[in-house]
Order: sequence, then C-alpha cells, then structure tokens
Amino acid sequence: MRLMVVTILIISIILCSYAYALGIATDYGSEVVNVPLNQKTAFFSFRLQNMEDEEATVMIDVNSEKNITKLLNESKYTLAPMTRGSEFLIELTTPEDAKEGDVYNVTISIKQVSKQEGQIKVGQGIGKKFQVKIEGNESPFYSPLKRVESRKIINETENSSSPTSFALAKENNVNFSIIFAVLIILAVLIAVYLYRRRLM
Amino acid sequence: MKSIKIGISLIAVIVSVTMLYFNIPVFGDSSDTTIVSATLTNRAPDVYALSTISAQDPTGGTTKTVVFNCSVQDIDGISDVSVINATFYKTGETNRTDSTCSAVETVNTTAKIYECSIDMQFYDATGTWNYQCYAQDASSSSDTMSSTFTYNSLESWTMTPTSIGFGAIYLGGTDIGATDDPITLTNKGNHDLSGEIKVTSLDLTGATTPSEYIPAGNFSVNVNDAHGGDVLINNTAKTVSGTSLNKGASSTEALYFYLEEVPSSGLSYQIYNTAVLGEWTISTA
Repeated sequence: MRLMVVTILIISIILCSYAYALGIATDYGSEVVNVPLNQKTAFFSFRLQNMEDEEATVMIDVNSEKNITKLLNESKYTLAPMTRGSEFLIELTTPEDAKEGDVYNVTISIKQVSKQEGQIKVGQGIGKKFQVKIEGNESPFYSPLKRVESRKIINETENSSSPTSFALAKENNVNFSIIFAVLIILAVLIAVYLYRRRLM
Repeated sequence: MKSIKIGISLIAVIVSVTMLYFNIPVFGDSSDTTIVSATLTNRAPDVYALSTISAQDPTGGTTKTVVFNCSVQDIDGISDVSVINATFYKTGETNRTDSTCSAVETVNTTAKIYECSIDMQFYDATGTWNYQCYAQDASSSSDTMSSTFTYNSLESWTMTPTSIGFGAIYLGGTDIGATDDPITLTNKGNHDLSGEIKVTSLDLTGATTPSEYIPAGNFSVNVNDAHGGDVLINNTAKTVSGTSLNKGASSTEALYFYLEEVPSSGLSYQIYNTAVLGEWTISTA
C-alpha cells in the first residue's frame, strides 16, 4: 500500500513540467462559406502551429453532414518545435441533391497525442466549426466589384521603381493629342465639303 | 472662297476651344510671359505607391512581423523628406506602427522606396486592417496613402500541466483535489474562447485489475478551487461553466479537478489511471 502511494506521487511531480501549445489558423470569414450551387467542389485551407519547444503529434478528424468533406492530407501530423504553417486541405463536394439555401455543418477536430505517462493523462483538442451555405448559381456575367484606387497599388512581385504619377501624366498627353488631331481633321473635312458643294 | 473662310474659322474656333478646355498656355499672351517676381514654394512629398500585403496568419503567443514597401517622391528632392512612418489600424484595436521606415532603394534624386516593418500581436482582431504610409518633409507638408489587408483567425492556447494525479485515496473518501491543480489554460490566439472549454473524461481503470474502475462521473471540474463543480460524464465532452478566456496579452483560465467521491466498495488497492480506456481531453470548439 505504501509503495503504491509513493509511485503515484512521483509520476505526478515529474509530469508537471509538460505543456501543450497547439494552434490552428484559418482564413478570416470562414465561419460561413458560401458555395455556388453549380460549383461542384471547393477547397479549404487550415494551418497548424506548434509553439512549444517540443515536437508535437496531432490527429485531424473531419466530420460533416452528408459527408460532403474529405481530408486531402494525412490525418496524422508531426509538428517540429516552434513551427507554424503546416497546411492541410479539406475538399468539399456539393451533394447531388443540394439546393439553394441548404446549410451543411462541418466540424474539424485536432487533437494532440500525448507522449508521457501519468495517472490521468490530459490531452489538448481544438475544434473548428464552420457552415457551408449553398447559394444560387454563379452568373457567367458575374464580375466581382473591384475598388478603383486613385493611385496604383503595386503588387509585391511588381517592380515599384517607376513613379506611377509620371505614367499617368504621359497618358493624358497622348489622349489630348488624339482629340486635337481628330478635331483638326474634322474641320478640314467640313471645309472641303463646303468648298465642293459651292463648286457644284 | 467663302467655304475656305468658314473652314479656317471653324479650325480657329475648335483650336481655341480645345486650348481653353485643356488649359494650354498661349505663347505671346502677356499674362503668361510677364513675370514680375517669383517665390520658390515648397512642394509636398507624394506617397505614390504601396506594395500589397497578403492575408496574414497570427503567430501563437508572439508577434507576427508584417513588411511592406512604400514609394515616396518629392520634387524638391527626396532628401527633403524627413519622416516616413507606417500604421496598421482597425476600429476598436490598438494601432500598430513603424515610426521609421527604412530606405531600401533609391529610384532617383526625387524618389525612394522605403520598407516598413510592423509587429502584429497574436491577439489583434481578425478581419480587415488598414495600413497607411505617411511622408512628411522639412516644411511639415505631408502625404499619405493607404490600403487594406486581412489578418486571419488563430485559435491557439496552451495548457499545463498535461497530467494530473490524486495521490493516495481511500475507499469512501470525498472532495479530493488533484495534486496538480490547477491546469492552466492561456489564450495564445485572437479567438475568444470564453465558454468554449470542454472536458472529455473516461473511467479510470485499475492498472492490475482493469475490471475495477473509478467512474468518470465521480470527478468534477471547476474554475474555482472547490469541489462541487461540473460533474464529468464518461466519454462525453462536458462544457465547463463560467470559463473566461478572452483574447488578450495575458488571458488565462484555471481548471480545478476534484474527485467528488471514491466508491466505498468494489475497488482493490492498486493504481487507477487512463492507460486502458484512454486519456482525458480538454478541448475548445
């Protein structure tokens, strides 16, 4: 009896130093995902983080109504210490009988696998829930509204060395020249027309 | 001859109207050539381009450095520009700033490209953030340019310790706190986890006689160091009452586990643990 008591206490003290630090990043606004009815498949990205200074093994489980989702990667990940960005993808397939307005609940569970022993091991789990909402067919003429900036926003990959304002000024001069030339030609044509009409 | 005159008149009218419309100076006009005096005035700097910022994932428990480029020109010479700074802002959130962006490329004598680097906190709100580049010259004339980027959602938290024990227990014992209490949860992301903490427990089986067990329902969990908390249910995620784990620089919640009652019979002296039926889980959803 006394031996049993000592054993339990030692295990408890040794395991006190461990910690879990799991994280999952998702795109903003992904709590409700609108999917057009005529879009048969869609993909969702999730990124895992392990901000602990020890390796972590996690299990991923995906559940959804009507089994519309499928995990495209392995269900078991080993994350190196202090790492982020381990991505896994979920494929969504719109059910054949889906109709506009249908909503499907999707749950993703990530659970860290314990490494150590103990009287009562306690693991960490993170669940993510989101809804897939079926909306009307996407119009072939659909064009997403784009905000027009008064000045150019240069993409990270573009060369930003030439001042945009110079380009805009040059473009204005070209427009002016074209308009001026057209007006001159128009005036000459009117004069010629009137001259010939007088001769007749 | 009359037609030619009409044509020439038309051309003259069109040219005059065009010049007036486009504000083209007419050479020979005394109003353009008679300059009595001239004063050199300062021209304000011009922030003429920003690089885009792709959607950013927060980094659990620490900062995420976000970098972008800001292109500035000043007709008076780029050396006239004395301040280049950048700010990330969103309604209801603390501004994040870089007070001095660094020049990384000289375009010419009047333009430079600056690199701005700003640390976002892990608890900064998810959503659309504005970013702005500000340039000011020696005469305090200034210009700004802004755009937006997306800061993604991160659900991240830590827990320690990852195992609990109850030491020596006796048949019929009551209100026994775990020797490792509390398990402390710390929010390391930008998601409010209040009210979302659940505990899934399983019966504890005997290490030598697995048929003997302590039911999960004999344990409780509480945000206060007291027995009488939420009674656990075998193999069921039980939501812990009263949890507060908002996003923030230092947001923690403590969970205290109690063995409310040890069965008064049917158990032999041995170690009872999670080795056979599996570990307990603290989860958020």
